[in-house]
Amino acid sequence: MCATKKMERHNLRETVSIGESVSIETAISRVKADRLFFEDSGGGITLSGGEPLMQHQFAKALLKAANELDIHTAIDTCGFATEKIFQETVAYAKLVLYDLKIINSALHKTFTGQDNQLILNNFQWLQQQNKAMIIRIPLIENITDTPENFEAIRALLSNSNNLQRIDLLPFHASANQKYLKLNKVYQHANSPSYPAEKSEKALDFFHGLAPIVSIGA
Amino acid sequence: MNNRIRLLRENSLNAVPTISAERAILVTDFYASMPDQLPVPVQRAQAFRYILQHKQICVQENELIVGERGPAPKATPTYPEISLHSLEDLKILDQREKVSFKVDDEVKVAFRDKIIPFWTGKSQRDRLFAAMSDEWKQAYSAGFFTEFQEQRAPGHSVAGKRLFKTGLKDVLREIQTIREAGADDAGLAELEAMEIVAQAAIEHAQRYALALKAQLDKCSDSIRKKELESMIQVCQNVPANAPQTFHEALQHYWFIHVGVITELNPWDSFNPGRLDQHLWPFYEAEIKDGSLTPEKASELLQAFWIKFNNHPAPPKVGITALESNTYTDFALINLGGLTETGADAVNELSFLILDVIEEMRLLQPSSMVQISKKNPDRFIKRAIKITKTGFGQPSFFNTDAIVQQLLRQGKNIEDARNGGASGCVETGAFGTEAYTLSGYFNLNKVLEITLYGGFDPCSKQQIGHKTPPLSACQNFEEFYENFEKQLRYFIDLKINGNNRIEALFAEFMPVPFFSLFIEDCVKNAKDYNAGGARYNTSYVQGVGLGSITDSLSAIEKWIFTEKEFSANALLQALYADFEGFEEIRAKLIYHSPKWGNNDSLSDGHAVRVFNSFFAAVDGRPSHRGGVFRINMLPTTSHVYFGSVTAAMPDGRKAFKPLSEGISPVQGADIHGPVAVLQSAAKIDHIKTGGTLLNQKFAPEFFKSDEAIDKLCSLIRSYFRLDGHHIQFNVVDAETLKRAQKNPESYRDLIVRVAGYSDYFNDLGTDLQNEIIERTAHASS
Repeated sequence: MCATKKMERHNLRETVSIGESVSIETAISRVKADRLFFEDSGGGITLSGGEPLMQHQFAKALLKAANELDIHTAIDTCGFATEKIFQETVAYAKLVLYDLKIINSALHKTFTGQDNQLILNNFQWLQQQNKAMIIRIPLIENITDTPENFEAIRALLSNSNNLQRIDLLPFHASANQKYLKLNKVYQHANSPSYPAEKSEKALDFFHGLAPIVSIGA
Repeated sequence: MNNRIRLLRENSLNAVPTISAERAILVTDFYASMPDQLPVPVQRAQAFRYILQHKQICVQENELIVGERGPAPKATPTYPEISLHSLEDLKILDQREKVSFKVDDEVKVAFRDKIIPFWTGKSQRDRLFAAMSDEWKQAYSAGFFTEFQEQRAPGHSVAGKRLFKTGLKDVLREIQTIREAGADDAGLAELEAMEIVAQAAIEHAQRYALALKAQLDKCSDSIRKKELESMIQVCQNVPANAPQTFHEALQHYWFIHVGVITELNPWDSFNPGRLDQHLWPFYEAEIKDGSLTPEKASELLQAFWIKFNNHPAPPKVGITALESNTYTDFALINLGGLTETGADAVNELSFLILDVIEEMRLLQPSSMVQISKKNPDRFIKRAIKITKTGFGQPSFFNTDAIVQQLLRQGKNIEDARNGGASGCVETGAFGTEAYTLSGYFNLNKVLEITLYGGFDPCSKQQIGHKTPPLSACQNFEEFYENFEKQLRYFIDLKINGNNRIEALFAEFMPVPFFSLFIEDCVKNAKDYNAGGARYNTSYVQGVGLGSITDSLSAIEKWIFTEKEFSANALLQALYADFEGFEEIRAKLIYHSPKWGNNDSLSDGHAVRVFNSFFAAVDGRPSHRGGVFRINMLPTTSHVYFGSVTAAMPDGRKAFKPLSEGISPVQGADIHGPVAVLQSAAKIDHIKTGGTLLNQKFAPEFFKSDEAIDKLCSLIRSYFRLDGHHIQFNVVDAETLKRAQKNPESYRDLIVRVAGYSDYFNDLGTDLQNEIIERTAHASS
């Protein structure tokens, strides 16, 4: 969370730290301060990242506290955590934003570097819990958008009763900005954005699986 | 809009603002030949009558609502009895690049040969400066405060519901009754003056009826003929009698508006106030009986809107003529809010008028929506959809806060609910209160001289109390006490000066015509400018809350808590405008608590300064028999005040603008809009007569219905916290370009990137450029 880097800012050379370390008490008091705004907007807190389960103890404490304050909770996760950590933390979220990238385990391993068994197990648990979910599917040409993968995702989702929305997330290279600031090279900096007409096709494909299917968000 | 309105609107937009010498010549002629020993109110009344009798009557082709202040749209008079334009002023007005007024040779000759020779040394402005103490003048020129009444008459007040239900003949009968009940000499003179002006305004409308008759005689178009016949009837009926129709109500108000801004040049011109409430009875009845359609009502309203746009604010004199100014004269139409009985006041007409605002898209009149917890979300969302088109209107006001403010000030509940906001954000009881702004107050200038023990580094003179400078203070408390001492000194100067000015207006510049429309001036046989209204309030407007808060936070942190550098080092850095002290400046800007981030330390300083300012002003008696109160709004004075204030501990460089209203220092709020609202709500808005909060958003924020729902709930939350006002500025491509050049002033600017939002500053140049292009495209 605390990346530090050198950058030039209007003749003021200095190190800028992005983000900050906060105690659980501070985080809770900040959440509390916005209570009235949550009440009026129907909003609440969403833990995202990075991957919030990387700090699962903090995440759990914060979600628990928000529940006690009657503030709505959501967590945005890729599901890559042990079942114990996942269940103990996610139990306190009223809504889960869940990434589904590639269902085929071998291909998942090839493109993400990790096996997806935990991800699929955790997803199954969410389905059993009947947890409210927003599914997030990255659209990357020839990697996630193959007919086989789309079919597999559809098959998986057809067992879910509490899907609120599916967000299709077409690839774009804006992340390059962040890499530059970290003095890192983004190897996809010049990759083209996912074609709009293909996004539309994906939209058609997933249409009807959730009350709302949308591109981006 | 139909063809007629399109043409009238284009004429208004294309009309070149000019200076008209007509009024100045007439008022000079009148005073030059005036019989001796007339009581002042009667002089003023006769001057008013003389102008209305002799001015040119202007009726444009195909107009529906008639009445121009000058001989043509945007022909703008001067008011030499208030302040006298020199030939140099006229030249500047003619030639300046922005907000110019063309001056032709004939006008220059009239000024040279007649107006200037007669009024030199005799204007209200001359009297005013002559009456001020040396200390007042010293503080005034050093930029501690401005004085509203030095070039314009007291005003700000707004028409109430009674105006729309009463004809001038009714007023004349009331005057008669009051006179019969008995009054002293001053009262009798005022009543006589009121009678003269009421009669003069009726006759003025008759002149319009005659001019329309002349058009009718030449007209061959049968449809226009019918219109002219009906317009003649309207002008014969109002303002003499109470309006009977929707059309008459608009014309009635407009004749009175023209009268008020012809009598003198009151601040914020005049204002119909709660237009959807006032017009509703007419609209409802006529829609029901079929004599009016929504289309016709809309056309009349559009014609009414154009009349406002034809009347630029009368330009100023002196060095201020050089500054860029504005044509807007701050009539602020109020929609929504509560009825007198406390019910939801939003009606069909509120929505129809919002349509008119959107379609007219004119600088004037300005418009706002009052939002009470009882008003529907649908109303807020409709208003947001206009805001997103990016012309700054309408702004959003909290009715429930306004009512609480007015109740705290002692208004009765009905008068409070009939109130609203006018000008920029000023709270008032419409139709019953004379609430005048007395001047902006430069809180940061007071802090600046406190740093140096009462010495002003800009004008290089000892100007306040001699107090220990920052370097001699043992702790922050001691420093703050010195600040409060200086604050009280300058507030005293301001208030004492203002009371003398109120006395001068009461004595020399009564406004019998304006007085007819603010209750209870007639009943009290007392002028608006002399305290005749039911309620009398004089405001001092605090400026630069964000800047002073950040300065105080920085002083406390670096000098007293962390002792990172000494007071002398800080003062040296300020004195050098940070040249060679970049490290100190970086600490001040990037590592100090900043107002607008829901940070309790910083917010604590804001609340403290606010309370000190409140305590120094609120409840002090005014000459008119009212009291002084505070509000927190800058208009554009934060730029002027910045230009007379050197570098400050918030890291602001010398002579740059201060923060405006209660908004954070430009770019200092980096925790999003909710944090800004949380900070802003920590000061007690109910103790003010208005606060101003600006929020910038890029156009794409308003794109979806979901985004509009979110803004709607954001407004609701801020208002639940008793926030007074919020306005949304849609950022344009030009602003983004400026942000690219001066990132430190735009740290708060959030833009939609690609499915997510980010701080504009944090984007690479390429992406910034792309967003600039996209924004330019979206708004073109």
